[in-house]
Amino acid sequence: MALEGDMANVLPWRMAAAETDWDAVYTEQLPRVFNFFRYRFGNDVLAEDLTSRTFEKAWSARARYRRDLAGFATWLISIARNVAVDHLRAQRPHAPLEAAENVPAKDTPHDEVAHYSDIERLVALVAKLPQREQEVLALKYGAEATNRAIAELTGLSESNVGTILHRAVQTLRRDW
Amino acid sequence: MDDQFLRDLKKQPHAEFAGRLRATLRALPPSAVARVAPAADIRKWFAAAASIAVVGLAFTLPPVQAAAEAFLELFRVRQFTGVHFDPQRLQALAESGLRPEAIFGDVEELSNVEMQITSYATAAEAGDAAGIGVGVPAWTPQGYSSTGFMVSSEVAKRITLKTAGLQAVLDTLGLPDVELPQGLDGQTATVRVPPIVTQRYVNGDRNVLVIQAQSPDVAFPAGVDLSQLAYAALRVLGMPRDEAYRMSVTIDWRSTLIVPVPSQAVAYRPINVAGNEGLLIEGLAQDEEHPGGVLMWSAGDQTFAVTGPLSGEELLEIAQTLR
Repeated sequence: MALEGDMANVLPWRMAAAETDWDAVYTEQLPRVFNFFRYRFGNDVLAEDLTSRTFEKAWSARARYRRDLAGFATWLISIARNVAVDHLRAQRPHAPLEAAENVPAKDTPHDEVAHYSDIERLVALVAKLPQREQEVLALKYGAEATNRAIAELTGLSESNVGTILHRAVQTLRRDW
Repeated sequence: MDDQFLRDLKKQPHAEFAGRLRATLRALPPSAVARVAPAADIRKWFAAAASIAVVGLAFTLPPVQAAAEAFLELFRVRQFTGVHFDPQRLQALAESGLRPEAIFGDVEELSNVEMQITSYATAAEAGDAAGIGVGVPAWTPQGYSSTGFMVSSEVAKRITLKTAGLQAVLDTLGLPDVELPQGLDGQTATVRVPPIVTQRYVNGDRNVLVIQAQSPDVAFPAGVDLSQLAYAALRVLGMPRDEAYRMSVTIDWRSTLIVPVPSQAVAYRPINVAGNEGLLIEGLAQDEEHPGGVLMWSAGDQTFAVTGPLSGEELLEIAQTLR
């Protein structure tokens, strides 16, 4: 018996035709994914890299969402979250969050301040928050997700998302 | 809530980046996932157990498979972690003229006979043949029925490593930052792949497989720098230098199986299966009603996999009801 041959029939891979205007979808979703990563990591080059990974993962299988474009947006962000987690996992041993504390505040009379953009300064402040709050902020202000969508993505309740956001924004405003 | 300062920080992606990515996406073959998906051949997950990352070669270049199986099966599988690989790297190797069978060294079969596949009607019979207690799922999706059990015989190989072939791979891919461990050349590793039990559930032309085996065990020379070897393998698969380095030095390579995931695959994630950490790969098939996936996990000294045209939730349900 040829196991190899049997196994080859395990999954009936099938392609589905996509009639959606994917160019329009791409144009609409690209800024959201890109800004999700910017708000997460504060680095445009890295955000571009992670955005590329996200879209390349999603694009080949986009046909499955031909009947549910709203679902596609949420699904795309869920992939972006996984990409961010992978990146964080890879970074963790060598990029302690404490390092972010060395980024000077905006009004620090220090020459280096000019080297830090507002988004970098924000991410440095955000990095002091719990991981969950960091992600919720990026979903809200980067990916422009609604509280309901964030709740669906994270498994939090919608009210909990609101509470987290309120608390996080207050903290950030205080230190901004 | 005054959050305008947060909203003001958004910006549009550079047009050049947006255009470049758009072009990349357009260039993706529409059948990319379908083309790479058969690489999910589950026997290879097991056959390649512990083969750190070069197992990716086995998926893409069938002639490499035997050598890949033997070379890096250096430990027992206790955990799984996914790594995206770049098919273009492997394509470059395929076009390089390198002889895949010569990459790793000389492989010597230690088994007296070739691997045999035998069918059994019951889990007890299959378990007796494999020397393990075979679990049967208490739940399978509606419409699926069991067609029995298959048991592959034990396979054992010894490989004498030759680094010249590996170095040629690194040279072909242009990876000057990668150095192979000192003293690897001429070393031998012995690989034993215990019997594998595969039970199949069929619904029309759709198949679900539940696979179970003792973890392969591999004897390898003491003193081999596994992290250095892992770094080389991760770089071969296309991982960026920094990321490969961090991963290579933070993972226990004696117990973690890296599962190369085609970059076009939708998603993979760690998942808990009855208290054991596993890996779930989803989106291998572009079929809305019958998405394809693979769920792998270890428990005790055994390794398991469930695969089929199912959702992640269904795969998990099957896994969690194994009795």
